[in-house]
Amino acid sequence: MKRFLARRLLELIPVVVGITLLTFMLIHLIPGDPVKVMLGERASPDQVDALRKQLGLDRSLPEQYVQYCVHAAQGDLGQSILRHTPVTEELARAFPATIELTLGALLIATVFGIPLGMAAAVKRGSWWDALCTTISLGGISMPVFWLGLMLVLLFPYYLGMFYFSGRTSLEFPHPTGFYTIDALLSGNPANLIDVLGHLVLPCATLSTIPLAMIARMTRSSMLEVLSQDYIRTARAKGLTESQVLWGHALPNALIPIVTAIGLQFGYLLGGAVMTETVFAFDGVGRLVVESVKLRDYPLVQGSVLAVALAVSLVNVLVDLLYGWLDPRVRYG
Amino acid sequence: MGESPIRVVWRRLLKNRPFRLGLALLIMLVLAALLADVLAPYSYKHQSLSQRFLPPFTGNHYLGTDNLGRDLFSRLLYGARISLAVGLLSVSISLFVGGLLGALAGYAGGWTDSVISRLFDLMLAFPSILLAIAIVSVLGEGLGNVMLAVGVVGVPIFGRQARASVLTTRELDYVAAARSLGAGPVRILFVHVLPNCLNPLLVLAALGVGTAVLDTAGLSFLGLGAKAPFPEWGTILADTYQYYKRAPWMVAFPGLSIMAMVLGCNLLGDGLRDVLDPRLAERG
Repeated sequence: MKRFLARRLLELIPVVVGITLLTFMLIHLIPGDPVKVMLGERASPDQVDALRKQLGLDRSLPEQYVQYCVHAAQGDLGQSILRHTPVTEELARAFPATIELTLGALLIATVFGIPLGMAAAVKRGSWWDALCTTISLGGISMPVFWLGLMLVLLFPYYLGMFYFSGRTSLEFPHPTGFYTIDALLSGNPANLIDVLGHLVLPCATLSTIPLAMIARMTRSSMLEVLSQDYIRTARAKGLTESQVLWGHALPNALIPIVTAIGLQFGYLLGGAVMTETVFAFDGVGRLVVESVKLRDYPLVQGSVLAVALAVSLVNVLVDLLYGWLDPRVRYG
Repeated sequence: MGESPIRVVWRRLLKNRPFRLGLALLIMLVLAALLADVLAPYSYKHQSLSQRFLPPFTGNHYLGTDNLGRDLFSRLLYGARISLAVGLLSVSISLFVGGLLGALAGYAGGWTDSVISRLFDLMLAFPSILLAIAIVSVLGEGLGNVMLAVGVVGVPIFGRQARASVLTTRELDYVAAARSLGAGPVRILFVHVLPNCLNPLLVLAALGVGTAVLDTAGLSFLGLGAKAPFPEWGTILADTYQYYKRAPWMVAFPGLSIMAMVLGCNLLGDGLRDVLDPRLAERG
């Protein structure tokens, strides 16, 4: 397992170098003078010079890249041009929101997706199967931002349930930035109910695509496992159908499902952009969109770098989990 | 005389239910887009402030009107044109660039393969929508740039598929036969190898149009793509969603239109995959 871990971590190095290179080039690929693009046409030459110096754009490209990597490794991703705050500070504020949203969405997707996929596989050709196919197809065909708007219309507006924007409407301290944990720490159940009430709709919206993927993956993985000899043996020795399903089939079908869930986590970290915008949820996705619109390039660069690194790291962790679950992978 | 292979495939496709459903949906949408000038009661720009927020089926306004009194049905019909064109063009970029790079990587091997494959890996390390946003941030906002960004994001997906197909096809006997007859590498790649790698790419392209329509609408919804009064479906949603309480139809219909088009492409893609690439279908 140690060798497998070392190999996966070594493979991560070129990816990290590539990600830093690509995000570094972001500013340099802007057509024209990036500083003038950021400051607008009316900026004075002094302002332009000052920002150029602040961003280190007055040096040679290799020098700039080395400096960028050294600073990034030290946790310094520069200053936001419009907010005048360190980029890392903005990311530290936004990342917990996105992680909370992503985990909530994955929880919903897993809790509903696995049983749905299992039911579809066990009762192949039944209306469960048709429901699974419909949900999978609908989930990947539906615009997430539109579903969010429809849920807002249905729940907060027509039914008066849940909240349609923000992360909380109550005042309490946020030592960790994860509002569910902070609400628990505050000791007041009303805070937790309020935070969860704000999380339900964005998480449900974000869960559609992973739910579709997980249900589909569970269905095909279960179908494959159910045709194996050891399932026939389990049935032949007189086990009940639920013992066969939960004790023998599911554990063996889980490996590809776990991988699918893990890979979805990476995808969701960046894919939360739309959901966060619809629900005015202050996460990384919303931060990226706003900074692109305001041409705050250091913030765009920092956010893209942070998300890409997080996704790569999560993918390595998924691989490790995969290797732990299935020894064939780590010795392959 | 035997039936031609294209006919056999077509007959099998028509027997496939997802394909038939997807095809019917897409034919409807293509007709709506092509005949927008005839079918639309109004121009997509026509405003009438006295007719704001009219509910569906009021007079000539089958789907109601928006906050500026514009006919929603007409705007959605013209929007179908834009979405179809953008979806097809984005996928053409992905297919052409990704297909060529992937084929080159698979056929040339060695360091060419290493460089191109690492580039694909790198692009895939970014969540697709984030990479598209990053590209738009460089190129600037606007529908053309969004289309380009969505196309570029699709390049590694098509590229990997093309590479994998070329890797298996180039080892087949008829390629060796062509080589022994003195065919050059360019001829072998374009005349003998690539045409036989088209099936999986065709499946990806059908599915890709749906994804491209969805991503373009999403980026326009975020305010990075087409700008009003251009009737791109995502832009219509972005312009009207603040009025969702007063006029829910203004939000419902553009979303349903996007969904219909994406669903059509996905069904068509699934059907094509079942018939053209059964190995992929088993895995899905």
